[in-house]
Amino acid sequence: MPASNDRAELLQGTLDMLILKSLAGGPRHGYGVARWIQSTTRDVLMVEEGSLYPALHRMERRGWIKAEWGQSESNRRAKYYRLTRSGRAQLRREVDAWERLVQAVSLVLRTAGGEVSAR
Amino acid sequence: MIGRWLTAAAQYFRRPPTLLPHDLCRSIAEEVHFHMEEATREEVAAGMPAAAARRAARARFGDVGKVAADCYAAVSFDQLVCHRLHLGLTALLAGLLALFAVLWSLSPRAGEAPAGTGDISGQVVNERGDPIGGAHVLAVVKTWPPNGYRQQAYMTTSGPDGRFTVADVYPLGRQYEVQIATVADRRALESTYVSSEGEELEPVVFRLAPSEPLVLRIEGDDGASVAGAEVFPHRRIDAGGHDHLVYFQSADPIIRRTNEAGVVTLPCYLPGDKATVYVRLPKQEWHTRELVVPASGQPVRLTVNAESEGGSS
Repeated sequence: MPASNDRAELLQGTLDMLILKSLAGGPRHGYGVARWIQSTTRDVLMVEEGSLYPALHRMERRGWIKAEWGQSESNRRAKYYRLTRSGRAQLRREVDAWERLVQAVSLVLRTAGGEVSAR
Repeated sequence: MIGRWLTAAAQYFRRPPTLLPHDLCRSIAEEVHFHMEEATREEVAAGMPAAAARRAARARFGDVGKVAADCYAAVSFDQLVCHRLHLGLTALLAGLLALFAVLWSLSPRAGEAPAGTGDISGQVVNERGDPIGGAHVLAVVKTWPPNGYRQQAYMTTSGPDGRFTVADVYPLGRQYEVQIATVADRRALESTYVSSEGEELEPVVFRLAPSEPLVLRIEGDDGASVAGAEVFPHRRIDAGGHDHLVYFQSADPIIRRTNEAGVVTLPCYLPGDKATVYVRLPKQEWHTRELVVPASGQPVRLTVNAESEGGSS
């Protein structure tokens, strides 16, 4: 596990996108979503578990994901979330918006002459 | 968006919010419990003692109560909105009903005294302009309050100076109509009719011409004269074609009775007038009779068959 200094804060508004993306490959329970994000980002991003579940319920209310109870890998009852058609469309929108943001920020960062010089 | 709210409304009416918390809280608790167990199991698998693993899992998760409350708020948001909308609309409806009830209770209705501030006033004079005291002034006021139509009769007599006033009988600022008739001893019946959109009524001057007595002999269908029959003048169309009326409901003060010989005198017509009179035999209904007023003093026989005729009009 990397040191806490190596971790990045989740940008506001990106949690939904990450959750939707985690479910794009198939249904997962909440714990699985958190672990998938953590492992996929090589422990750089760690979802606050206290924020994860309210976000899942909010997205379920909006119809982006659907929940149903099932059996976990450890043979326990777990609530699995899967992406709906509306959720896939939302994921596309969020990814597009994110890529535009990344390109825009990259353009700013790559522009010459904007460096701050130390006195 | 619209579909989502329709679904939320359907869920709201299918499952009221009061039934929601128990199921929902149990579901959230079970989900959080599963998360804790999995996190603990992972730490134990990594070599941490079970008790420490549980503490670590709980510390990483944060405030379980707050998370559960946030989940509950997130899930029940639509239902809470629907519930508040429901309460709001119910309160609005109750308020409107209460307002309507108050307005309805405050509004004037047919049969109640009108909230009028307008007066009827004027003077009764003879052909020379001298005042006539003791003349009967019979007024009928028609108004249209919010809930219908009403017609109210007022009776008074002129003072020694011939003046009369009937106070507070029509609403200023709202539509009204007034019929006023004047009957004085040995004076021809006069009346006037005024329609107004709410203006104050100008004083009315009645200039009464001298009349000739109209003598009526009331007989039953057997030809016998009837004593105690009631009679009053209802209509007078003068030689110029002008129509003068006494409304039935205002006629009480001018009803006269036949004497033992079945004779009654109506001192409010002129020879040549077309007259309509109301007649009622004792304990019978009112009937109307039309006639042309003859030259002075000639009695007119009116036959009334009470059993075969209709009532008053």
